[in-house]
Amino acid sequence: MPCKVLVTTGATYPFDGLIKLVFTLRVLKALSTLGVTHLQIQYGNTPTSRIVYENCVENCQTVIQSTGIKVNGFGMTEDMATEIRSSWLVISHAGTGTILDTLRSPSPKPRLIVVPNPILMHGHQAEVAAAMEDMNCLLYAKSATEDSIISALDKLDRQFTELPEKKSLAGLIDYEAGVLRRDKARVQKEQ
Amino acid sequence: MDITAITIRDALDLLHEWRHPVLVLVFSCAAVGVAGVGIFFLLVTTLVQSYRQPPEKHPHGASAMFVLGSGGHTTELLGMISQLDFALYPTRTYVSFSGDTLSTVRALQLEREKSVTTTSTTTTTTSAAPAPAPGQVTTLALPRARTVGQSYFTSIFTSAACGFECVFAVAKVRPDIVVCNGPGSCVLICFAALVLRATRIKLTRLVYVESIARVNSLSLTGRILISVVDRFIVQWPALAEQYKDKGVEYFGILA
Repeated sequence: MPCKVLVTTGATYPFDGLIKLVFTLRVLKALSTLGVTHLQIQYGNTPTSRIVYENCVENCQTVIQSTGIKVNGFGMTEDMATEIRSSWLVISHAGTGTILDTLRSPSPKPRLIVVPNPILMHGHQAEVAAAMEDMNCLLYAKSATEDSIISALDKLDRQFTELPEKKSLAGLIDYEAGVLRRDKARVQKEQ
Repeated sequence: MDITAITIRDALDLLHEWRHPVLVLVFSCAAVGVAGVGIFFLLVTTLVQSYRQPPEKHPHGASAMFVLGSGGHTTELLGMISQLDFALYPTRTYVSFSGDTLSTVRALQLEREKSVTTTSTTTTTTSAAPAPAPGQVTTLALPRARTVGQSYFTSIFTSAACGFECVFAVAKVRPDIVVCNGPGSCVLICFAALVLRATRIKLTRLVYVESIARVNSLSLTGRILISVVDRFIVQWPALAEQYKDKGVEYFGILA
């Protein structure tokens, strides 16, 4: 049963656009029809982001009241992992950290929608999100618009693929450092 | 009589008088030059040879240096380090760059977590084997080669300062292995390690892991280090395919 949605803009770069996108009539209505009851917003450390968030909540007061969604906002938290784990859906910026934290969190895993920051579009930042959407691990709202978020929300009932298991480099590093016992080193060499 | 004949005869006269200061200067310069070129070629050949050798064996434990980039780079690298058996690496050095105190804090946090888990496993398997020597954990903070947004001209000087510090730090620690994953400043640590290798002070092995964030193209750091390090690991198959003739390795996602 969907109840909590976490919206996270990351800590390094302000992403007010994402807050504005979530606090639109269509997105809030769509969330409420999905059965969302709680909305957690991590808006970032800058004072302007806080103001943007507060304005958004004020503007959407009527919708929030009619849908009965409880909105809660905070700048940043040390314990993002707990926030992620307790969510049903995470709507996140394209940061690799949040993406991995979400996809590696213990099951039941939250679903993940990634919205790239248009200001950082020219970097390689969003490549990970795009590649992981190709693997069917998450939904990627590439154009960062209301429509793309709505269409992503429509696809949430699909079966997502688990991110492949985390591989270890310990064997390789041990071999290079020369601390491996001989038998293991030979195996490494043959590979 | 042509001019060359005169000059040759003059030169022979000078040679006769071999203690002439000009000649002494020329000969000594030539000697220094030849020696310099010789030493340079010797260093280069030793360095090139060192890539063909298998890693040195350190059955009693190795000294490892981990270069913590910052932010996401640190997270990724510490995740990989946490899978190592610290008993095999009694000496561990964490390098971070100025202004990035968080990386050091997180490294020490990992050390604390690891020491808790290792003591708990040794108590469960109480064997005759002696307890490993207490680890020597060092954290180093070096000046930054280039801060984000700094102009390329001034970054020449800051890089030089960082380079010297890196050479001193690496020469002091003399690690058996350096593991790094970018960005920027780790290039200088790797080059400093090459100095150790070329001079045979230590055959430091270099492992570079490209960040998971690089899906379709290598980072600048990666492109510089690809022909320098012993092992170059990427985390996406597209990159492995693109650079496979450069010996790039792919095992899957490491984060």
